[in-house]
Amino acid sequence: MSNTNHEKIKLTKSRHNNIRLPKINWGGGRLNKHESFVAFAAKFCRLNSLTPKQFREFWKTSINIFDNDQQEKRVCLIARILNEPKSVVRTVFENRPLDTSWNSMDSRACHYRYNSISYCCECLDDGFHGNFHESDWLRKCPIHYIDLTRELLKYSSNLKVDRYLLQLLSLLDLNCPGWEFSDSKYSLKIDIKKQKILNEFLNWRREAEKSVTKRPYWCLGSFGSNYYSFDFKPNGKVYNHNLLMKKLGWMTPIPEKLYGLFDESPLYSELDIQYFSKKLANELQALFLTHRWYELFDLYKSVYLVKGELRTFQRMVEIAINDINLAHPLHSCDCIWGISKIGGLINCLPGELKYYGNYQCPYEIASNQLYDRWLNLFPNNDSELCRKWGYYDSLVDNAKNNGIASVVGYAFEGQKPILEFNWSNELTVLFDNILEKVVLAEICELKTWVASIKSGIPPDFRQLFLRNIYLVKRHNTDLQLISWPPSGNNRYERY
Amino acid sequence: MENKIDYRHPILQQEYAIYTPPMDRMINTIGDWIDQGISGGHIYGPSRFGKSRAVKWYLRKILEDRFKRTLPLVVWIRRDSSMSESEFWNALLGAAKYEFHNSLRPKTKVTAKFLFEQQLLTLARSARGNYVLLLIDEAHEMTLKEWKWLLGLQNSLDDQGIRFCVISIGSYSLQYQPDYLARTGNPHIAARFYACDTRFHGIRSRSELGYVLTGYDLDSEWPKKSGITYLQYFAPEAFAEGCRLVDQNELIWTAFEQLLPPSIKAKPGASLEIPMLHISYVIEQALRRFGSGEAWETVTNYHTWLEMIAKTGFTDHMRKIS
Repeated sequence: MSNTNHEKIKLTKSRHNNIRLPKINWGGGRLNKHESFVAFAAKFCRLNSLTPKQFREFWKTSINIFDNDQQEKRVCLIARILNEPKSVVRTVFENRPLDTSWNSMDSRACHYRYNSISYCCECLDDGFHGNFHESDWLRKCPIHYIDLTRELLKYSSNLKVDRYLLQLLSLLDLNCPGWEFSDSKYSLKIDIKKQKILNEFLNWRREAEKSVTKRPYWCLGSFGSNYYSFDFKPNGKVYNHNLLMKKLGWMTPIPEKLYGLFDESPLYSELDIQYFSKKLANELQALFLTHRWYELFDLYKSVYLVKGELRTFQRMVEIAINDINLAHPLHSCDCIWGISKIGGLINCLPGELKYYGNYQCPYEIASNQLYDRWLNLFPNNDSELCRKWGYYDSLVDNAKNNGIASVVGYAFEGQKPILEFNWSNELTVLFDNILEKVVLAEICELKTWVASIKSGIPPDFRQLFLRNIYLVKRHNTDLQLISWPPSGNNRYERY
Repeated sequence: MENKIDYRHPILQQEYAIYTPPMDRMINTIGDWIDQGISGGHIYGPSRFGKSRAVKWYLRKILEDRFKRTLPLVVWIRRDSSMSESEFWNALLGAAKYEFHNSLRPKTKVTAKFLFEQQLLTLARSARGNYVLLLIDEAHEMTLKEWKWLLGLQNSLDDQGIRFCVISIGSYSLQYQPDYLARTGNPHIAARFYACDTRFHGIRSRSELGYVLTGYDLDSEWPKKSGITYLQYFAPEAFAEGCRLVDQNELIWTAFEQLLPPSIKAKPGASLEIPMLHISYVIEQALRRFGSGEAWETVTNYHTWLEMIAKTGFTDHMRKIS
């Protein structure tokens, strides 16, 4: 018995003088490489007997204390709490810039994110759910090379993000009882050949992610079946152009062997690229100091309606409405679904819808929607009329005050000003081009919706149409409007 | 001088521990038991000898140092004398400092048991081993039912390849437990949880006392990282002049001997075994007196030591525990 023990104690003291780590039930070796965050969360909830809400609160206070740009610190902290190797932790918790796979349980995330859950049945039998299974651009599982199954979330009063987790929990319980207790090394029983494809896929994804992060593309706006662009911030910071990058296959060429995995092959040939001058980019930047995309488009389409001059995109809408009415005359409607203005649904016998005064058939809804959005200056409803014209007046005032348009006359018995834009012809061409593509996408989406109802799918389920129009600029180059034909994601989600 | 003493000093708060030779022996014994992979053992000794302090302040650190890894150890200082199964598992979850344990919102017994079992598995996995240790202080309060619950847990962990060892620490009455269990039809519990035993002694020799006093002289520190020992803090001038408590070893030992109850002295082969608590009370008194400005010589004469030891109730205590 000597003083060495005292020294030992002092040494040990200093070694343990670190920040307090929460003592949770996990234990090293339980985390699977490339596991989805939700699969980790499910296992964590089960081992700690937590509800998804409790898990979210724990995660927020213990892990999400670091910003997104402090990823390495975050990884280190998770590795220490879970006692897992950093190399494994990275594959699960690092941001995935290439897809919408989530690495946090954000209750404020966009509502469309947690509508359905996708998985590979065979992986689930092994108690595994990978983060690549959540990619909306992947059709097959890179491990088993079978089609991914997509399931709509079951309805309950829980938050969507919590239902997402609960649904995975029940799927895992059903397919692999005792999954939560299995070690990572036993959970994936795949043969070496399949592992080869998986590795090739993972290598490609790693490279592609690097290239997405590195390429200095500036996305000034992205549009689909509507023109509300959320990707552009007035401060010029770009935060989502992944879809564009992935769609174009510009990042890293996909090895031919892997083509079968993807929802669609890369669009090398179907691209439509229109070039605009650098000057136009500057003009747009100036406009964005005072206006948002949707305000500019709202003003643009309304000004021509007031003037009584229809632009090409508006004529396209007229033609589409005529087509719908011709294809489905109201007097011979045999639809079995009726939709009320406030979104209520009825299911009736063919030909009986006419007895339900407040309900319209899907075709009528589609043509009315097109008309209201693009051509209607005088809604039937008084409050709607007031709102529409009040909005127009405020847009006009704003445009006049900022000098982007001047009043050149008055319409409707001198009540409404007619504007002429003070911007370049090139900008007018750009606006026309974007709006034509948006109209086309909206018509396609509506046609797909109506066709799906005809095939027996209830009207409250729709295919989400992905954005297909991107306005991008590379450093010091021209502006490019890149688009491809509109298409759905082949998933029916509650609208 | 008096004004300079900070009331937060561990001596004034009595919130500190001095490493003692009996603590060292106890911790080493537990370390040996871990090496042997026993399923359970017990350590008994009179109260106030320093068992709980050893568990609270030193056990984990010294064992981790010995095994060079995080120790899969849960220390449970038992508080209530009897409890339901739900309370039992919840108390263990609390002892494990489990993140999601909330004593105001206890879990059901099934959930709490599951969570505690998972916590033990987590500890074992985190230590990259298959051995996990539960140390129960005040284990003489354990009931038969509670031992049976632990038996069930041990079986379940065994099934999962984890060896679960329970070390019990308690007063003298603990040494009769294995006999009692064996005679009341539960020899399997005695065999599992009372496989080995050792006694926790008091301070038994002058050299051991000297070791303890050196703790106050040199192997203590407050404030943290200041390099100031407890004696140096309360008697800086005397300390600078080279005065040390360890030099009072002989006087203090003799004073304790003198105050030993005659009934103990009369026993054949009786030897002095001082509870650590009484040593600490005496030294704390002396340090406080230094702090209030009394001279080294006044506090450290034989009669003052006698007087201070008597004040601690040493004689009565020894009479009770003998």
